[in-house]
Amino acid sequence: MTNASEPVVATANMERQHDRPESRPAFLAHHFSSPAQQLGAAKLGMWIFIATEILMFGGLFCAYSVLRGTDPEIFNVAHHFLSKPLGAANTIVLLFSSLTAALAVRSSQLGQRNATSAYLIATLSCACVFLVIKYLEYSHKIHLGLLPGHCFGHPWFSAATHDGHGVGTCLRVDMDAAPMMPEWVRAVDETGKIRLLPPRANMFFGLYFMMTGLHGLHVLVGIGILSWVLVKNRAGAFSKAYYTPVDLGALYWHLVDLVWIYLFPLLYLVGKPE
Amino acid sequence: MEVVDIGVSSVNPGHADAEAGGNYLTARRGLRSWLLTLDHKRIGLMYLAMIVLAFFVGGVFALLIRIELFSRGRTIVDAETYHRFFTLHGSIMIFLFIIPSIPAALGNFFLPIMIGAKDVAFPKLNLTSYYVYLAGAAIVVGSVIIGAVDTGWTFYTPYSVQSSGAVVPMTLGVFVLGFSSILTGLNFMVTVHTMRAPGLTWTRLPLFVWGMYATALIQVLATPVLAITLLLLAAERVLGIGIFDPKLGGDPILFQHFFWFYSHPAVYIMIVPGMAVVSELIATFTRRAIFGYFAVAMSSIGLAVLGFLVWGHHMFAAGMSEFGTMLFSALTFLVAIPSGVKVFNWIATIYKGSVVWASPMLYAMGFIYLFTIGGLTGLFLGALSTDIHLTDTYFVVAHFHYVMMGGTVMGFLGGLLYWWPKITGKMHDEKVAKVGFVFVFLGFNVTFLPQFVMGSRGMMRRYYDYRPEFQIFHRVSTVGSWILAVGLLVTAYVLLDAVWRGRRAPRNPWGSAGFEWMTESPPCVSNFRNTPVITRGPYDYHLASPEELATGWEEVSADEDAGK
Amino acid sequence: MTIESIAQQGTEEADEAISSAGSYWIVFASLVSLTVLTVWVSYADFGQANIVIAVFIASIKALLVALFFMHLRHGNQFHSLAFVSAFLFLALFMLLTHDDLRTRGEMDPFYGGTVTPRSGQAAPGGEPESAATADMVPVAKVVP
Repeated sequence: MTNASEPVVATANMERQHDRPESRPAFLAHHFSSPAQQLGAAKLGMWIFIATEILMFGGLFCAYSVLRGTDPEIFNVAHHFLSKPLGAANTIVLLFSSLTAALAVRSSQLGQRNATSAYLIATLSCACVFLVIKYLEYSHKIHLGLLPGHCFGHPWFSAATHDGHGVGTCLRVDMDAAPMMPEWVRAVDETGKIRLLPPRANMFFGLYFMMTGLHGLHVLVGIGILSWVLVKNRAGAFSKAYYTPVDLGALYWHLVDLVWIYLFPLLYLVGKPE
Repeated sequence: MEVVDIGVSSVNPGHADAEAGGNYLTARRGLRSWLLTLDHKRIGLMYLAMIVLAFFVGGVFALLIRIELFSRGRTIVDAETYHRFFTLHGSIMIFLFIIPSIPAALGNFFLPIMIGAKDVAFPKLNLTSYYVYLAGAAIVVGSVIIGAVDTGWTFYTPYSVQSSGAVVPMTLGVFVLGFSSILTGLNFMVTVHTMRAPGLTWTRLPLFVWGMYATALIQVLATPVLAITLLLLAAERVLGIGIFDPKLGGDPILFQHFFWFYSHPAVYIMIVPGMAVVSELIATFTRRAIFGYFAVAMSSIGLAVLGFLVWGHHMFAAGMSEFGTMLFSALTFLVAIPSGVKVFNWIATIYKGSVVWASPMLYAMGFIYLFTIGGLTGLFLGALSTDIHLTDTYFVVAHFHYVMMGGTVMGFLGGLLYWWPKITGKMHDEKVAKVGFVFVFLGFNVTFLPQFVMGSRGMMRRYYDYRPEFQIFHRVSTVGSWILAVGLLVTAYVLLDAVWRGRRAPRNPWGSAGFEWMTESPPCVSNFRNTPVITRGPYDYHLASPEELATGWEEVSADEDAGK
Repeated sequence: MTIESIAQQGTEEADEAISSAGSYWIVFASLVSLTVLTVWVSYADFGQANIVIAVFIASIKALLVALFFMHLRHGNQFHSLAFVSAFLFLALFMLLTHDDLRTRGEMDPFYGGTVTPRSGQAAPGGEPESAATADMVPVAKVVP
């Protein structure tokens, strides 16, 4: 217990780095007292952000689980319209990009500038491959008219045929008209078979597009972040003592991978097999 | 106070506000130095300006609502416009005023000072979150101009999907505001974890900091779910994905689950900071350590965690399963416990303390009294059987106004008056502030007490017109709103007047042992001239030295007599 | 406690441990194997267990990524707490929402009382069959 007369504010006599400007590294922000404190704060901030992202995507997973609970039939049929090979390829691509991201952090920790750049480029390439595969999948669905909500089976998309009912305009402009729900839609699945999609299958595709769309948006942002990290790395901003942005960029990328790890089986792999 | 400056490093050009002399207000001048500041104190003040503006705008809508309800039938507007009034009152008050209020204004200003840090962990993120808030506010205002929403601030489906108001822009604005909230919470959590001064252990943290931490915890965990809820609502409206539409196989009550999973913890984002301020006020104005410090600190965390378990109590009459309603009702009783812990500990602190009845203390007492009423009436609403009768009546309206306004706003005003000398370096007129309090307290009770009565007698909320037997209650309530408005304007006057014509305030005008009073008023840019080393708790009046507790009024009076 | 040691308390983080490149490749190989496994299992019919197995395998993959690629195994407990808490609160949300949906009942006008639509069995809670429902006009029975 301290003496009652000791002041709470001690005149500083401590050897802290900010006392001596010349010992203070350039990357150390003014309000931190040591690089370790800065790195610790940055990583903690990133992990809290990751927690918020898990909760945000989690809401969509909850919506998914609710729909699966009330309408499992939709899932059993609709998942045939998703390409398992493309989905699996995307999974492998993302997993590999996570590996290269982790290796990029490692080489940055070791001060290996060129290796870090190489690994970052590999990660970015994988990200682009992912988006290309996604584009292929999306364009196939658009072609078939397998779209969310009102756009489902829309007459604009000739490959889908439907038994009678029109579905109105794609985007809602007419507030008073009740949306017509396609009852059964004949469409061609990934293996070339013609299948009947049950009513309300548009909900599955609504969820599919929202979940993979939000994920794709995060991939895009990740490409931006990692590109920026790459640029700064090539400019020599990072070293053994300071690799925080590489670390944080890689953490974000791992989060993107994590979400896909759950998206892939839940969207592509579940439902009754043939 | 010694003016020996340890010197902030000039090697780092990033924080160009840093200077050896002056205080944070005078260090750099000009609009750009404010708009591009990285100083948490200036950011806190910019938030304060917007928050007060939002309070004013929301308050104007409140007055319009009460004028419309003064008489049956049409008084000033038609029903459509009335629906827009209460939607805007709710949305602006909740998303633009009360959720940011204490954390973004007072928390931003005082959290780093109270832990002896120079700034928050991520100053640039702090400024970013301010601009995100501004962007969200602009989008909300824009949506009002395009076509004001009339769904109520809760945006329940299916009406929000069908309504002709600008629902998507409004929800987009709220979505953006949510990110401001998340970033602020993230910043605060990291700051408390990593930037405490030497000697400041978790058990010596001021209760205001515990409150800010608990609030940040809720902000970070709950707000993302609001984000996804609003995205789903927008998708439902634009694309018709059907997740909330029974005709398409969806479930409108699912929207309510999503919405209230955020919005119930959100009410704890609103109240925990108010309680945090009250703990500080009571400790200072009874000149004692808070009774049961650790229990009060843990109760903040307890509210944060338990607040996530009870969201279904907003949906008892919505069509949830009966088993679900029973479960949520039981859990709701649990969440009353931490609030009770705080109230009892505050009262135990006041008992046999040396109470000083300064205006902040009056607000603290007002808080305890009004929050207790609000909290107890929450139990009526949490009990399933009584809620069936009281839900969606004015009883609910009165309950949440008692806790949010009688609670948080009292805490906010008390905190402003308490810390105004530290923020501005000027002392406000205590006498006028107390007059303001009387009007606020009186006006508040006259406005909302009748609403309990008419709610229990069947007056439904959000109704434009009502039966004759409720007219007297509505009239009394409206008159109360005018008294309340007077009180709030008087308080605003007191605070503004202090800035221009107030007496210079000493370092520690209230004689508090809190850490923020150990630095000058207003603080220097780096908060403390020398990094503090903490060797006691913030309420340890028996350990604090006489120099620390000295108010400094004698020097100020001497200076004034000498004509300085 | 000297002032210097107080200064060191609580704010410093240990030097980051650096994993070997080989360990990352091993983790990657495991992740790919698990992906192959989960795709292979999806072609077999285990009924309801399919989704359980899929989520289980996905969780193992997620754990590998979190522990090794995201360095959770290096020991900062708060990071792990943040990560796990997010899942816990998500689980809480899904659990209670599902609980509501699962136990929701509808009036069975033929026999009275509330039944869960799926099973046709009595829904928990609520009024038992009483004189109030005895006069109800029977319509087509609710098909589970």
